[in-house]
Amino acid sequence: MKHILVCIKAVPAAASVQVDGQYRLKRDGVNLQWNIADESALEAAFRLKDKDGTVTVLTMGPPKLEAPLKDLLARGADRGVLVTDRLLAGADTRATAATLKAAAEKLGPVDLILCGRRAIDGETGQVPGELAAALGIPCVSNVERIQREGDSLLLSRRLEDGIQLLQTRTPALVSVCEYSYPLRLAGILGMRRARTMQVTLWSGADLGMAPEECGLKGSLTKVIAMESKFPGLRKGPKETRAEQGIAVVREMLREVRP
Amino acid sequence: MISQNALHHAEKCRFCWMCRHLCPVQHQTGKEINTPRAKGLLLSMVNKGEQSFDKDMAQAMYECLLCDACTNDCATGYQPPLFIREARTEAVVNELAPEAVMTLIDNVLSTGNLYGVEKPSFGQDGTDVLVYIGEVAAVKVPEMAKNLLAVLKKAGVSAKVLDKEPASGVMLGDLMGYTEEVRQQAVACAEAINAAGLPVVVLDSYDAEIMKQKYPEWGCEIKTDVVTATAYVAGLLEQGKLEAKAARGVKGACHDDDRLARTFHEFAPIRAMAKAAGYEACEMFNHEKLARSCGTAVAYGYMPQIVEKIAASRWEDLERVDCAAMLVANPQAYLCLSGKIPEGCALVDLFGALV
Amino acid sequence: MQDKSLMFYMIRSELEDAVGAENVSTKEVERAVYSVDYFWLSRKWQDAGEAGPMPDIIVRPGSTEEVSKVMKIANYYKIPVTTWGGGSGSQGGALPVAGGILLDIKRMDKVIDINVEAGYVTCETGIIFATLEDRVNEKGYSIMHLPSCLTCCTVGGALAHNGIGILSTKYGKMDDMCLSLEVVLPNGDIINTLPVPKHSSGPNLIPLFVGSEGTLGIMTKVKFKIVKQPQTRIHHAFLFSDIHVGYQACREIVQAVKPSIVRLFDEAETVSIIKKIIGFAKKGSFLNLTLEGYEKIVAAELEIVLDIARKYGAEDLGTEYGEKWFENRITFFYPDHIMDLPQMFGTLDTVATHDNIEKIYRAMKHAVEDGFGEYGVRFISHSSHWYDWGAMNYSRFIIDNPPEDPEEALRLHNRIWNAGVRAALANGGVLNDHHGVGLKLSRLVKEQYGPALQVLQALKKELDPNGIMNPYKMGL
Repeated sequence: MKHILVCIKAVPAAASVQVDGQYRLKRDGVNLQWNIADESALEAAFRLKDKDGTVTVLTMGPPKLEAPLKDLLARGADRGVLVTDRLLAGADTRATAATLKAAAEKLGPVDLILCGRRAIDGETGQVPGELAAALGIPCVSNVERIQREGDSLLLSRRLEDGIQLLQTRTPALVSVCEYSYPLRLAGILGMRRARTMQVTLWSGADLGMAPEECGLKGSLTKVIAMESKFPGLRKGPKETRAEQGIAVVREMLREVRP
Repeated sequence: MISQNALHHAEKCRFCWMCRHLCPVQHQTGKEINTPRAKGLLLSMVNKGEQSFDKDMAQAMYECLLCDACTNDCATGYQPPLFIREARTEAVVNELAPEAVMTLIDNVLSTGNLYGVEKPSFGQDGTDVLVYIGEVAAVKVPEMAKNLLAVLKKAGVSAKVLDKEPASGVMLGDLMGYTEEVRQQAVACAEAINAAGLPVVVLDSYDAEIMKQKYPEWGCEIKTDVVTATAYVAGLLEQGKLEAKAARGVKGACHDDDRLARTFHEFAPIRAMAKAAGYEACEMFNHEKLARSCGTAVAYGYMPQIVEKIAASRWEDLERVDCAAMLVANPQAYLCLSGKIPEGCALVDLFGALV
Repeated sequence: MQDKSLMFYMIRSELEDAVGAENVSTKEVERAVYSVDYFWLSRKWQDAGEAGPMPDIIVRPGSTEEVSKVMKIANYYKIPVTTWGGGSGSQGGALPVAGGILLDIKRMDKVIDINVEAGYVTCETGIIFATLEDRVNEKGYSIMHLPSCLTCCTVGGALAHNGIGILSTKYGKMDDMCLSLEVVLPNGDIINTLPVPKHSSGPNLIPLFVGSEGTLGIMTKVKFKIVKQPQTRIHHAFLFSDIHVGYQACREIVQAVKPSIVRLFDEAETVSIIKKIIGFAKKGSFLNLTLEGYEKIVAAELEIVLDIARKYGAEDLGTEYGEKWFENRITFFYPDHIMDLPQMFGTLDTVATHDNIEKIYRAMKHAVEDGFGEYGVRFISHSSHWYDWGAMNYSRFIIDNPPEDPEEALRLHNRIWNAGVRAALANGGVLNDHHGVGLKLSRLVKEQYGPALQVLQALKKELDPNGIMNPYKMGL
């Protein structure tokens, strides 16, 4: 693989999820982390690329993602691209896919695009399919193992009722399951190298996108309401001994999921 | 600079004084910079451009045992060692770490241990469990390793020890933070252990911590059970496979090492071992989760004077409760406490006491 | 002092000779950590990326004699000396605003003597208070000084600000617990107060130094009384119809019995507590009260308390709240539990006789809420330290969205403090109950004392003629 593009998303850390007045997840002023499945996609890319190949990481989000992107360069990515623009805020999966498509095309020929199978904030899992469709390449989702087989890829895909083995030609888009390839850490030399590298910053205009194609305006779907429901505290038995407490919890779980 | 998550912790700690009384380094140096809040404050200042991360700041980040007493105290769950460890990575990347630290890093990278020597082998074949000896026991406290093996033999346990036991990565992780170099050591160690396919009994709780907490996160999980040597031996006692010793008529207090105390919350096993070894039970005022660190092998390596003072202060804890024996089941604690044993006191290796 | 001048290095080497080279530092990183204490403005300054006040040189003495040597040097060269214990004061008292020497006393942390028969402990003042309390607890005793900053502050800091702990209503505050002191005067002389705190052998020297905030000398050793841990400690909660009734009832209680804890909350602070206890909001004034000591005495005291509570129509809320609160009493002070930036907040604590304390509460509430309503200020208050002659108010203001600009924030902060403190002064209160004056309230000291200030000024002039001791603090 000469050039692998990895699309990666920063999601709010579970402890700091906040929603704004328009039902959009707040990304400013909250603690962000890379989506865990996307990390596996990046690690898979490192293992698949040729010795002289290139791994490009592409993300959309606020400017403060520049430093976390540099951390990915330290871990071994060759190029980092951050598409950042106020106009892109509030993008649904379709507007996101459109933006990623524009960026992917600008980045030149790509042998393989890897994504996480879904992000833990929106949990839609739609972007990989939409991006592949927009680019006109095959898409294989929920992949746990990827092997190179000449110019094609052997893929092991997690389904509800088993494992499916597939072969695909390239270029293709593959979405990867979380935890399938734990991402390597940054090494000391990698960190030193990353200090000398720059992250590429692109706006919507740099991608040749019109404002009405971007963000909320370019979205086909819109969140119109949101409510949180609290099931209420059940008055359960109080246990002071751990073993008895465990037994009670087991019993409760059995009620929820027999 | 440090990650966003670590910075978040630093920013929360910068104006909080609540855990400062627990810092063993602060106790000995009395320096304001040796408090978790000061280290958080400095990293916040770096982030805001008020201070630059220089050699002095790097030095400050190494004046910490990573003993987790502060984390254990935090009612909210903030973790000073998280940002201190990342700051160490920053120091190494920018070649600002103290020279003594760099020497240790070079040693660990070349030999796997702090001491830059070839690790003595305790290799033996066995079929029941794999004993992981660890660097400190192998090089500095070999008696404890031999005693553990002897105890297992006595209990009829057939123990295997890897001929060439790889380093776990814990030392390097404390010296320069969790980098890919550390993970590579972990991967190699996990592969060797997994090849043996036996349940693992880990002598040094510091090794047990990284194996149980970091290996799974790094994708190199050990497939078999990993237990601390103390829990394993206490289990043998419970099953009646080891005989208790006669009462010695000596009051002994168990020192809970940092990892048993605050990572595993494992308190009963060493006390069961102490009882079986014939010691009259006694507790130091700060024990179990609140046990004061007596130093670590890593810190002993680059700041011996401070660690000697910290260990001496642990001996004072013992003397104040009129106890004669410091009961230890961790090679690093044994190493630090053996530096200067007060007159009339004894340092006891609990494995040895059960042989 | 000028950095990099010949004289700078001459003085530094002299200080190194006094305390050992390893205990003197001019490193930028070490100096920087002294630029922020618990004072809101110093935090705001750091948060805004501004440089805080830094000392020129840090000196860490290990004994009284070393403190004396340092003071002689400082006095000769007329270098400011700011003493730093834990740096956990909320009044900016430890900030080295005049530069010069920062005297960090934490190496002086020895417990010298615990005498359980006579009932006292002697220690150096650089010990963290929690460490001292632990050492006394080891013997089954306690100093009974349990402030929220127990784990943060040094003994010296608590003495310097005449601090108070949660059990004060029974056991008193720092000046009640202190039996005698060793002090290094600004000229380097080492003096001792008389061996006992109560006598008719001339004026007592202890009150000159306890609460003097490092402006008159440096307390180096202290003898505190210690008491046996109580046989029992029981908590009881009540709800009064309003704060007025609450004040009346508590006055009667503390004039009849000796509770250790009396925490009476105003209506604003009661709402959130009461919701946690009974599950729904209810108006009123909440009281949590603790009795402790010998079981028999406590039982008798409880009867009296219940009688008085009934007389004032209190709703009995039982013991559970108090037990939980006591167990988790310091949780509130950890990050995410306590107010933090970007919020602006402050504790306008004051103390007065029983006839004035409610007046002060209302005047201060009015001054803050009506004077600064445009900033969305909230005002909450409770009274947590009581005497047979009076009580204190622990009144707080909180602004969730204060000005971002630090200078503008400073201006607003000081205006609120001026208004709040003046409301207290005008109604028989004082600047502060137990946090001290520090830098925060220094400007208001003149207003408080009036011509009486000359007594303190005369002392200051005589003891510290060069004005080197903690300059610009406490109005001296």
